[in-house]
Amino acid sequence: MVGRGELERAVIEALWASGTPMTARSVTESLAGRELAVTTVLTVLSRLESKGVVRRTRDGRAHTYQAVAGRAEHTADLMRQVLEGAGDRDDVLTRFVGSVSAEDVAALRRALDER
Amino acid sequence: MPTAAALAAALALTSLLLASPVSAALARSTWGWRAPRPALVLWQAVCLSAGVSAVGAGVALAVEPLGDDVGSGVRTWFRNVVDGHPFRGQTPAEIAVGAASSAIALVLFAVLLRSLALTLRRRRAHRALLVLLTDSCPATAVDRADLLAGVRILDHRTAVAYSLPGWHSQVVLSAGLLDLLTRDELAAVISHERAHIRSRHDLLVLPFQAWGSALGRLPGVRQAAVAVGELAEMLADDIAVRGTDPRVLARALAKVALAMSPATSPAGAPATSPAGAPAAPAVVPVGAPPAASSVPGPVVSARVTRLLDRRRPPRWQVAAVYALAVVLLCVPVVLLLQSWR
Repeated sequence: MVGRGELERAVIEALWASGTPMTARSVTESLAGRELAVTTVLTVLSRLESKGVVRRTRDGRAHTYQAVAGRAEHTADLMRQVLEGAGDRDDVLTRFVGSVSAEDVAALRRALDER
Repeated sequence: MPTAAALAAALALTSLLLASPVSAALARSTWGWRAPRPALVLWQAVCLSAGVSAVGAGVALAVEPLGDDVGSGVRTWFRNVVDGHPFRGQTPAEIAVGAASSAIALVLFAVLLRSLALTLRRRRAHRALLVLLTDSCPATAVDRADLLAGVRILDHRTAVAYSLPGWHSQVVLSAGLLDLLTRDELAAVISHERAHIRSRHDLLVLPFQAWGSALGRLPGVRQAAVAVGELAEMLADDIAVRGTDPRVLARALAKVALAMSPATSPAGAPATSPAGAPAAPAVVPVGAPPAASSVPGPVVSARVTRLLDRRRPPRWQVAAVYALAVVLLCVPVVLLLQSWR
């Protein structure tokens, strides 16, 4: 049994790798080693679409799917969410080191120099 | 026997004292840095007691003609509501005070619910992306695969570690952190994050953050949120170093903090993402003014210092703080049980 997240990752990676709009059939073919049904891939694609990661457009008779943004953009976006949640706002997550003040840097440098 | 007005005044005074001078003093105090758990318990007691007193003061005034004490007055009022005469026996002033205290209670509660809903939604969105972008263990870290089991690795050069609390909790480390820290230091960071998740520190902090961002203009509320957040970090530090050398976590903290400050390592802060990526510029100013201004003091170095100097307050002081928390909770309860006739 393959996890849902793992399948979604495989499909989005196929879209990232191609860089062009793909039909559900061509996505399925690019994942040939997995022996997936086209309907399964369609389900995954619509889930990705509802998450706002994939855009669907009508191309003649078929629908094509395209990644909204690249891997690097999404990573930068996540990172921004992580780094912006500093200290006293509604934090969605807790960071190991929150914000670092100038006093902190001076004190930590001194501590390291003493060693 | 006290009059209802005197009781209400005592409750209002309790609430004001706790919400402002007591909160401010607690936020300034560094005693809790040596004993974060009792300090967090005290904060919860202060917050709850202030809220109950504020609402209770208004209720006592509003139901004064309806009974001998708050309990019987409220019961009579409910009976009146059921009978269809909600304001029977009350003067307009009492009705207004009752409405005002109901409004306060409602606002406090609504802010909390709103913040909870918002947090859950943002967390879900974050996790959805996270699942697509992270591997369980990258090829560059196979030597540490045992350590990183169940941890997600985000492919980014900025050194960060964080945890996403909740039902589907997650510990996330960045590739930059894997490069920066040794094996032992990584293990310490991971236990720190797991401590947050296991002890549900997010629930301890949530009310303070919710009220801090919604009612932040009231004096002391925001400082309370910051102080409680710091104490939760220190508590997680303490849990993480149980049975290990605390100097390892201290070193990890110092390394990550120095890597985050742009002044120290100009190459460390910027993102690896291509120059054209729209979101990239926002990543750069990590230790820059907005973050620095919201933090009063050198919090990270304080965490490092207390890990290196493990002196703890004497047991009687800890017991006294717990006792104080119980007393604070009892004050409004005892006042609300007084009869005025």
